[in-house]
Amino acid sequence: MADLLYTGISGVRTYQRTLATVGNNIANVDTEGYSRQRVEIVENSSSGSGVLNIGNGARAVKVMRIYDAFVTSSLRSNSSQLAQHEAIHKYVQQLENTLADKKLSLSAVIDSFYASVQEVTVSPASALARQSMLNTAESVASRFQAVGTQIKRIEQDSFSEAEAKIEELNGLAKQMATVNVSLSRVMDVGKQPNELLDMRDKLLQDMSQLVSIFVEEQPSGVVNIHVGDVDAGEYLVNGKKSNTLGLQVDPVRPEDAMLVMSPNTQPSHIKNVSGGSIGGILSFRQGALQSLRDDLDHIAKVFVNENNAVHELGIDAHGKFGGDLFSLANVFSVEAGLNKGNASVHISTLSDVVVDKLPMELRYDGDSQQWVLTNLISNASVSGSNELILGGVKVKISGQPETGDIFSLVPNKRAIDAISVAVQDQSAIAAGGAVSVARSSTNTNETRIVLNQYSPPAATAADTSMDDLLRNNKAQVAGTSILPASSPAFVIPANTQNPRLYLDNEGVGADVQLQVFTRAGRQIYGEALTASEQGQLVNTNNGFTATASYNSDYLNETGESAYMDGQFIVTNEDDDDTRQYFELQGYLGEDLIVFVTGTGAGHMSAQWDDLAEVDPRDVLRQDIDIQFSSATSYQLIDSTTGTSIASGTLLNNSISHNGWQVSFEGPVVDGNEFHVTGNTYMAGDNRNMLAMASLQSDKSAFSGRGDFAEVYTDVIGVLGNRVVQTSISVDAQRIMVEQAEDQRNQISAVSLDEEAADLLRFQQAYQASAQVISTASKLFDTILNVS
Amino acid sequence: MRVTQAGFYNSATNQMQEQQAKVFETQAQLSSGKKIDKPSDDPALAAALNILNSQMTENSRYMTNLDRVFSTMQMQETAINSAVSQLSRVKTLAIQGANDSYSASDRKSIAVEVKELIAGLMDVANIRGTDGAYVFSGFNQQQEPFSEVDDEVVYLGSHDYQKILVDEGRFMEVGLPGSAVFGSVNHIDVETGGTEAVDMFTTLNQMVTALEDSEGDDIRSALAKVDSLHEHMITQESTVGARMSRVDGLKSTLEERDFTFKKLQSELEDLDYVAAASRLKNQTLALQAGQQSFAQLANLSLFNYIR
Repeated sequence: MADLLYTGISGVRTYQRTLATVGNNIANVDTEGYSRQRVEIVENSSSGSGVLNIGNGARAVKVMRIYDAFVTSSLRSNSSQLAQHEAIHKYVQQLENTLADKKLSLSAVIDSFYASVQEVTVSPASALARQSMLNTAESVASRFQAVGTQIKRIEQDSFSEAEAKIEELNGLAKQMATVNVSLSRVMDVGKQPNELLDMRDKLLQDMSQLVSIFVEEQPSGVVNIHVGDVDAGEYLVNGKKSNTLGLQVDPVRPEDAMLVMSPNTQPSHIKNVSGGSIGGILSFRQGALQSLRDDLDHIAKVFVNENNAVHELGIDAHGKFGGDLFSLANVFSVEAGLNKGNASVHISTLSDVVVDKLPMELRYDGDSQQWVLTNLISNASVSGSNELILGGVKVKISGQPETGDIFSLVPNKRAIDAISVAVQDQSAIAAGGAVSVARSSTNTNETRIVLNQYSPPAATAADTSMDDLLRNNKAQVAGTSILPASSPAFVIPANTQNPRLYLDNEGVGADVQLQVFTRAGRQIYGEALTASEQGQLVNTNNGFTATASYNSDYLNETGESAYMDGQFIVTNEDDDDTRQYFELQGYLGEDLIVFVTGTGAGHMSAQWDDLAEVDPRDVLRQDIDIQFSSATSYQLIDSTTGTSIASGTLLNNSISHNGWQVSFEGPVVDGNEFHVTGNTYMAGDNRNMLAMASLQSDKSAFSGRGDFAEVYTDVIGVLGNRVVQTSISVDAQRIMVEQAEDQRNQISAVSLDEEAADLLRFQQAYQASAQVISTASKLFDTILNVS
Repeated sequence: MRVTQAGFYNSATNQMQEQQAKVFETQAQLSSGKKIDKPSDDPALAAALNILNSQMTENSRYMTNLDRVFSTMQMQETAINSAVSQLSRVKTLAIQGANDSYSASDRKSIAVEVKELIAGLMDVANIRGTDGAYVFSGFNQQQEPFSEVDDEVVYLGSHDYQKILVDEGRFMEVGLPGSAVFGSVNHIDVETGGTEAVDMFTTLNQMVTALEDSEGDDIRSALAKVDSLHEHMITQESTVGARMSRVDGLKSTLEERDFTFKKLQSELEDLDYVAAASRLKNQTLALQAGQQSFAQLANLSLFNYIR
């Protein structure tokens, strides 16, 4: 009766709702992020008494969202990983495409440079060959720069993309906060509207493609989201509030871009950002990009330094030692900020002032209409309207700026961007060698002398013993007490100008003697030594060379018979001053060892001028004759003055002096003489070019890893391998994502066949329940018609 | 397992895309004829090819170097050949002149011829190459090596032997300074057994003086020295000859190496067309199968039967 009617109505109502849900599923079959819904039907409680309980139909209690949180979160984290690998792979491929371009091959251009160097070796006098070498040098520099520019472009693209993705993330965060607001109206996640939960999950999925997020779900379904280091407590979305992220660049190291929270108010650096395209781009920048740029810079630096080291030892067409062939000019590079105005900046360095190589910032203040140039390390600043000078740098600005426009002045370009050719004229190419060797035409044997190598003597710091011991003041009262010893009192360093020494006896019974020697054992001043004194004084412990031998030919000699025709003065012109006196007018290119011998104590004063400015390479060009007095004993004679500057014994068939090393092809005999001469310009001298050409296959510059071509190929190979590895990672991760998606689809996606079957099923149930109502109605009519 | 619309479409499209990518890659290989297009296609192969290219460039440069010095060496050879015959003639004349049966006037006429020969020897010593550089001047290519100053012949060139690079890290001497060829020669005095360093031009001038003065002893002692000069020049001749054949040998080695490199390059980088073509066929087939099956399956739905 009424019960039957009620039951029928309950059925109709229930299946109406079920059919609506099926219809909803079918309509949303292609909606992204949609989770299918099912209606949960429960029995109504029965009514009746005692044993006779009759059910009261069914009702729809809930529309369930078919959804697995674990699968969804697994899909999110896999998508993050995939997006990260894809981002890295994309950019690494771009790097590879740039470098694989044959027009940008660094090894090809370096090979062509060395080929042109070899052309000069076979035609050293040809201006054409030399100019051609300069041209290929230019093309090496331009190509390095071109590669640098391309890489920079990729770096800037990656930066822009990161910024764009971060903006996107910020937008999604805002939307998430809005959804959270709606979700917070209901306390229990089970009671939340399904489409709101779908929207929330879709936002989470989209965000995880941008960066790895950590999700905290509240019981109401509201989510809080972290990015990066969870412990740091930084929320991107905290309930109804969202924060913004930004990309900040370190002004001192403009290549480092960091992700920060609240960039415009209180920027705080977010650590351990990974995953998603943002994580991928940051990882690319800090990983593959940085190491490629560092590797290429290393090649550029080695190339410049190696070639310069050789070039500086050669002689150019003007008879001078070569200067730098290539240069890594430390010019400031100008980076514009996100400027609204269109000002442009030109930098030059003042040549007579030392340039502070510190980062600077140029900022425009619209109120005062002035530019302010600030040294970022010392905070010193200057202001001006269009020309400013600070720290040796002159900055000129032109164009129309707006308030807040900034330019960063970065002191060091990367080597690859800064490389340039330092030689402008082909006559400045140092093709010749500095030293030549020859046998004397009077030698009665054919033995040839061979020059094996030369390099400027290692620059050692000037000996400070004289400075430490004595005051630079010739007055007697300024003197120092010195006790006689068989070890040196001090050393007069090479190139000291106008040294003067005064020594007299101190105390009763003192009798001291000033003795001055060269390191090769030549005594310049003093009293001749006895044999035992020679042994005591002239030995390697006292700073003499290993082959030093005592020689008194120049003892106290002045004028033409003096050592190296030096202007020595051994008598004090001041008759009142009875001290022992030693003076050198001018300077000597070698150290002088000073002893005080005798008994008692001595009192020494001295005076001297600054060290002369001497090119250390010039010593290579001293003309030396090697005279043999036996098969092994020789003397080295300075050809210009005839001074015997050293003696020695032939050891391992080689003699080294002044930085050169020679050996002999054959036996030497008493009377043999050989000449080592310094060169000026000789048209056919190609020796320095031969040395430079040998650099092409020199592996020592890269610690034995290989020569230029091999090391460069290595760098490209590493890059190629990265592309392969990231490609494999992408493929592998894609499979993981596909599987996760598949799992999610299996659970939550709509199957049209299933829905079609359900449509039929519930339609039937609906029709049956409608029939129940019809029957109940008929029964009631029957009751009504009884009377 | 539930098969959903979304699941089906996703997996089908992913697979078709993968197959397409493979087909396009093979097609790119076929049209370029090279196995690899960029290093990541095969990093190890790309590295080997790059190094090979570099070595080929270097190798051909060494060949060029050898070609360029060959003409200088030929000039040296010609000059020294000439010098040998001139000294030989001087020797012959000196032997005649040493004979005391020759009169003073005869000796004077011999002296005149010897003087001519000396001038010829100086010409030869001062010979210039095709680029205008003096052949026997050492590094002082633009300075005439021998000239007469106050009746003495002085050498103004340098004493250096010019070298070139003929292979990685290997140098070869190609120059001959005048002082080594036309300069001092070691003469062993037969009587005393001692060695003396005599200067070529000085000795020859001494010979002329001795002939003009008709001093028999002087002529004979000068003759002994001229003999040494002649021997010395013959040695120089064989030095140059040996160098030239070494250059020939080096060139052949480099040419062979060039050929080997080219062969290796081709093996490494050229595509195997047969394999690639059959690969393309297989991949195209797989793609077509995927596309056709998708088209058929996409239409299957229960809704087609519910009317």
